[in-house]
Amino acid sequence: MIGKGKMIRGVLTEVAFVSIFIGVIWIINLLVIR
Amino acid sequence: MKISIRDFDDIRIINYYTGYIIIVIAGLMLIPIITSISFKEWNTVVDFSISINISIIIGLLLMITGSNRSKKFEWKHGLIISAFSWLLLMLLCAVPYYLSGHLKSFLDACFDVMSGFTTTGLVMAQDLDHLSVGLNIWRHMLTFVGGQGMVVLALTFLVSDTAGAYKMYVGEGKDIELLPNVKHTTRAIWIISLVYLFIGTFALWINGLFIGLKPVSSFFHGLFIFMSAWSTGGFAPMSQNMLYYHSFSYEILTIIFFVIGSFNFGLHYAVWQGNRKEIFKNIEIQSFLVTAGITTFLLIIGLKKLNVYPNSIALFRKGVYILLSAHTTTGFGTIYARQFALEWGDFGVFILVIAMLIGGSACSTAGGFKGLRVGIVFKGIIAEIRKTLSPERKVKVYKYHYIKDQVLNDAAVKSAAFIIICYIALFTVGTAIGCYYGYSLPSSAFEAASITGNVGLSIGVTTPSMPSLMKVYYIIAMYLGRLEFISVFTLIGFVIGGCRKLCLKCVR
Amino acid sequence: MFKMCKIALLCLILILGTSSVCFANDITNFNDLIENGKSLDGKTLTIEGEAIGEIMKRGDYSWINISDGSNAIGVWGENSVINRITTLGNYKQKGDIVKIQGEFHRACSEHGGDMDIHIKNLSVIEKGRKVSHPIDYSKVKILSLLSLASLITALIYFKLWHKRKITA
Repeated sequence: MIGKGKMIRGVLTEVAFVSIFIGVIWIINLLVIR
Repeated sequence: MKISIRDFDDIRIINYYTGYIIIVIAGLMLIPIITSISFKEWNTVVDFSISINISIIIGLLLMITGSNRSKKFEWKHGLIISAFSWLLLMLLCAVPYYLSGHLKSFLDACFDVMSGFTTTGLVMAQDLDHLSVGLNIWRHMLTFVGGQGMVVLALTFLVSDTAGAYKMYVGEGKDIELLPNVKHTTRAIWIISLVYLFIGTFALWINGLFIGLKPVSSFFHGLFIFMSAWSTGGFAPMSQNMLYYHSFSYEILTIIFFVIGSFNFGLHYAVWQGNRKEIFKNIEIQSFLVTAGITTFLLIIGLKKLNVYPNSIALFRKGVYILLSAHTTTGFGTIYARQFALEWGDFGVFILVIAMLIGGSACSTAGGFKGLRVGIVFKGIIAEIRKTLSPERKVKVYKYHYIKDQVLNDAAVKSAAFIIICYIALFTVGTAIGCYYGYSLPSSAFEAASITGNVGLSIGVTTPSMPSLMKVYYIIAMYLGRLEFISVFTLIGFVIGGCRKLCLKCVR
Repeated sequence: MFKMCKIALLCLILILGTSSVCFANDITNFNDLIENGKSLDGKTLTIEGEAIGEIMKRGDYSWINISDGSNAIGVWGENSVINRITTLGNYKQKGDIVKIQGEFHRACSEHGGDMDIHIKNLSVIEKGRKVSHPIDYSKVKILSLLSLASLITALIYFKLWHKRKITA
């Protein structure tokens, strides 16, 4: 159905997206708390 | 006085497929049985064996009295089968819970099961820290399977191609068609979930070893926490929930998994197919980024004003973590329930209520209004304003992107608004009941939002000593919220209609 | 002279009597800690509870979670101190009951805002022991009856299924 390569890339894309999202919120957090 | 055979045909179809779903879920009980045998937890083995037998008997009786070839499979059948099987499964899956002795009453056991199925995560079970591994695996399995959907699971195994498969699927609150054949869609949903299950459990297992957990227990903690995070459930193997681990890295991993878990399965499928742009174009992701961004910002400044936490890490691990947990309707907590009321102040509680109600994505394991509806209604309002301001002869078609470009027509806005209103009504009644029983307004609203959005964070209202009526209402609210009303309304309508027909015939 | 001794003794009693109030009271219900988090923050107090779960080693220090039956709180201390706890609570055993004196934090700045206690003194009051879960034989009897019933039901179902297959 979905190739293994595409699967891995799909997972990495999603994990990367969410990690960036968390990173952005962390930065906002630091800026506000300062 | 003759009751026509046609009236029974409806019941025969409903019975057959409900029975089938029950048998599949009964099969799942083998997993805790095998786990308990390996850990030599004999009492748990007996409890689950009793439960599996009861479920098989009832499932088979339903299939015996039912039939899958009586008449045409209609929409009402699909919706009713979903709604009815959830109720029956709640009763059957509560049996092992109740037999374990960790629940004070059968109602409490039903509460915990419904909380699991609907991926809410509120807990009535006592003494979680001394629970058997078999029972713990059952709790987390309920939330993992419930998040995907019990009907979805059963449809995955359905051998014959049924016209009714799609109708049952929709009855459980999903309508996304990943593939033309609904069986292939359900299989795709399971494959996505299982791939993440493997990756997530592994990641948490390794991290667990680093934070001081022993190999075997780190595996089980990882497995349980992943199942709970992915399904945005919120159950945890220990009574302190996420606070047990005292670990920032463990918490970050859970954020990643529960946020991904709150995304629409259609989105996962599209991205896995190679369509990476979908993540940015999708209206639900956009809606989530906006609402999560705004609520996080407001919460941070609110908590900072009250000086609740000493530094930015603490604020992130307590404030931001809980907000994301609430918004995705997960329910993992890094503070004790009472601390919301004692330390966060009314503004903080209010922001959380809003985040809990908005919820996650449609056709995912998350609850709440759903980002799709919030996005559609919001865009609908903007479109209305634009229409009034623009010259009357200009006709503009407004669109939104959800897997594919779709037209923002009145029907879409209307149906989104209708469901949002139903959720608001559910929330309002829940708050009112809480206030009636003496809980403060912020506390009642918080708990009602947690229930309505299938979140699972508690401000301290949910306890075994809660009034029974509140427990019953909360069970109903979790159930309605998860199945998104329509199938339950259909079930109620069918039952009332059937009773009326019987009464009329008896009178004649 | 005798009067002086009496006054000295009285003073001694008063001092010792009131100073025990300054020492921590034993807290066995952790709801008190949560409810009074703000007022107890930073104070030294004594708690008593069962050690549950696992000792989580983080370098030279470890975490252990102590439960009072309904809530559990994290306790942070040096490995040598925490390792005095030998039995930990789970399904199969009841953990050591420990008495811990330490500094309470409502939102520990060192530990990302966790509510915790940093150990000053730890003593094991009661050793943990295995908990037996004897098999309930009435349940086993019910199980055997139910197994028979499900077997019969399964037979009925398969007979019906076979019949339907033939007539179809």
